[in-house]
Amino acid sequence: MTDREDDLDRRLRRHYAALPGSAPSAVVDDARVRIAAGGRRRSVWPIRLVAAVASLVVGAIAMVGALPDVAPRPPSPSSVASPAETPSAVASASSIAPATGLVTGVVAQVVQPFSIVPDRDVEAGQRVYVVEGPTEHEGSPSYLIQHWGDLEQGLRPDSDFGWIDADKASSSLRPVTVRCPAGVSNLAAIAALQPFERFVCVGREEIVLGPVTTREHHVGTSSPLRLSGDGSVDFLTAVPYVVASAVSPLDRDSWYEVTGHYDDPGCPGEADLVARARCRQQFVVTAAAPRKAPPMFLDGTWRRIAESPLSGRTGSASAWSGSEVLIWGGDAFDGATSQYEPDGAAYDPAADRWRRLPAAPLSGRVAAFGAWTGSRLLVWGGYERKGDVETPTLDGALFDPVSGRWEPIPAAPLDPSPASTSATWAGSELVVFSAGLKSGAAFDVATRRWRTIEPPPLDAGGTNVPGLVWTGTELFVLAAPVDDVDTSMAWAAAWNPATDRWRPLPEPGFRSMQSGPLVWTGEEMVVLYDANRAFDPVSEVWRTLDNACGAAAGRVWTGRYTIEYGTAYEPATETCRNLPLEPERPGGGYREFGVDVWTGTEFIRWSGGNGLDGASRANDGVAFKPAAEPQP
Amino acid sequence: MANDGNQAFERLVDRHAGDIHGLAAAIVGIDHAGDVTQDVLFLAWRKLPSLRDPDRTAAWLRRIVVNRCVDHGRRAGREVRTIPILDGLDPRQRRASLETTGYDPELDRALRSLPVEQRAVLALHYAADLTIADVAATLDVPVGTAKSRLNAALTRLRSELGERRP
Repeated sequence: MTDREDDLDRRLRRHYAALPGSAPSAVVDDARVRIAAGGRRRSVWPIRLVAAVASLVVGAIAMVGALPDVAPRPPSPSSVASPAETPSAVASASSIAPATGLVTGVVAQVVQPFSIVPDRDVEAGQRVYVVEGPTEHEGSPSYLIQHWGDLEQGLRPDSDFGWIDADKASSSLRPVTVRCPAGVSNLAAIAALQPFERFVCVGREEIVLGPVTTREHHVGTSSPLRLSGDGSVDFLTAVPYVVASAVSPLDRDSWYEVTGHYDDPGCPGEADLVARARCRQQFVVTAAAPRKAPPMFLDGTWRRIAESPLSGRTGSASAWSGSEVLIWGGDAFDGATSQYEPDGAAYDPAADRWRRLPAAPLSGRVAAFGAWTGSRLLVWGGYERKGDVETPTLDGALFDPVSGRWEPIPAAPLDPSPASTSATWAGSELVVFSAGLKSGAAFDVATRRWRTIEPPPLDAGGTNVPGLVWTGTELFVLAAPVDDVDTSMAWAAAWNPATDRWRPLPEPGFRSMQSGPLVWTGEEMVVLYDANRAFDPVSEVWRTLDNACGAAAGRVWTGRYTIEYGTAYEPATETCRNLPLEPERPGGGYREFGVDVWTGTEFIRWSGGNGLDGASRANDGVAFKPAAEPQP
Repeated sequence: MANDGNQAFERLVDRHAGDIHGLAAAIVGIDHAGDVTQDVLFLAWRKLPSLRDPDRTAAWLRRIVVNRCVDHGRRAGREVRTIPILDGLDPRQRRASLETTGYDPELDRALRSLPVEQRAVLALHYAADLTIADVAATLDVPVGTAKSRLNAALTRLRSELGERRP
């Protein structure tokens, strides 16, 4: 290396080290809001992608009927809650003449942009709340303003408070009348308002909301407890609340009709105007009565399953045999070292009983593919660990649960050193690929032989790890060029095992990174996550799926619903429904990268990481049984 | 579960948001790093359930960052190339950075003249401190390709710097 290279090397490192070492909290908050929107509304601040929020407002309007212009409680002097807060009192105290109508408690529209915190504009067309003013602040007549953003461009998770000069305020703000929903009696109507508008419209009047349940959402400075009408913690539909001292905490597994109010008399006085405003804008539950869950919930019950003889783990191969959930392999990470287990067990849900499987002729591995062949558990591939090196495996084994015997599957004739593999069961063959789709092979379980298969007609240097699904006659593949995995448009094709030929499918029209696991419904290939499309091979048409549960569904197909992470999506009717909350795990947390299996009547989830400390992988499990058995 | 999603996201933020933002800033500049970071956090949260090996999250995230930056650069075209890396900071922060850190305006200008793909390989090696092998793994290219891309970027950078020297 030359001196000049050394110098450039040092300059680059020093230069890059000048970059801030953490992400700005506003960026993270914006992402929180976007995630809180759950994929149904991509409400982002400051990214303006929120047309769906407008639909929320429209929906709320539809629910409450026409929204008459209703004079908000605080704006007019006669409706201000406390005499001490009347504009005349403020003006009198400070001897400052207010701009026309611009007084404490008014909601105002911005006509000229300004800032109340650095680097963040209050934009023309947005609304703000006049917390106080006009009053003396740092020697000049001023207004204390609260700003949340707006419903069309997205509310931030927390509001800004700041002072502006009275002259600036009079040229920048125009008082407006809040369009309060008539008879505010449902949560959607309340949630569709800006937080200060909720307080303005409802004030201290006791209103009744229900059915609602409670969820936690730790964003911003408002209470983490949220009243939810659909069991989600969507930032834009779940309303922060606290319970009055005489009321018991709400139970997250229950539904209620709650009574409550804004502008609680117990809020602090004017010594801290910001704290007072925040307090007054919080919904206070003063009574709660039990109610039934709303129809948007998939009716059914969870149960805990018997304790497994296996250690807790992630990345196991699994399959449903028709009478048992068969599980093998996986990573029992202890917080420091990954232990790729070479053992397995079978769970019989009818008897709620486990049995250990005999030793397999396979090395311990994680992320192996598992499938039921009709008579055997098939385990193939996955990654084994030798020291610190993790390598893909190309061999597998078949397990006969009746005889209790394992039979090895020889290594697939794939690229000898693939970085990644993918696999699916195709009726009578195991079909596997490596290096995206560059190299493929099929294992016939009847003849116990491998055959190589033609790679798809792609010339872009291969693809990323593809999505695979078997339709009964063809293998559908969804992939993207390897050079642009997360940004390029998805590519779809079908492989016919009888002819070993590929045919291109119509362009999906979405980016590959938007797609989640593929599901074959018997009539369509369903692609969820952000893609939310279904492909009908008869008409060769992709259709858009509405009301998809965003990232929430797609892992397990019940014959009617895709189920995952608390939601069930029915592609035929384009309906998203929520599952009742899962029983909590020992030690808290949730179940990620564990075993998820549909048995025909129950959705069984076993083990997985708790998602909290990276190490705890309890060996507990739960099963959800829908009340009405899904119709295939 | 929705609440689970929150926990997963908070964990993601705790462990990786700083690195994501730092790498994005090194590639597209601070002004655009927020957008990229938000995109990556959102995508990562959505794709976590399909991540084969959670122990490889950091490498997986770096790959998404690079792809999003390249995509961002292509969409934004010249705009991205004209954003100095400190332009996203307010004047006070920028001044502090200039005075107390190794911010190198000449180098910054030269970097901005490079294609986003070359800035990415430099950022992975010098900002994220990855070995050539790890850079290759992140970009999913052979090690030789990563080396040649890095050399091309350094050559171009030296050329840009040389042109500006008196």
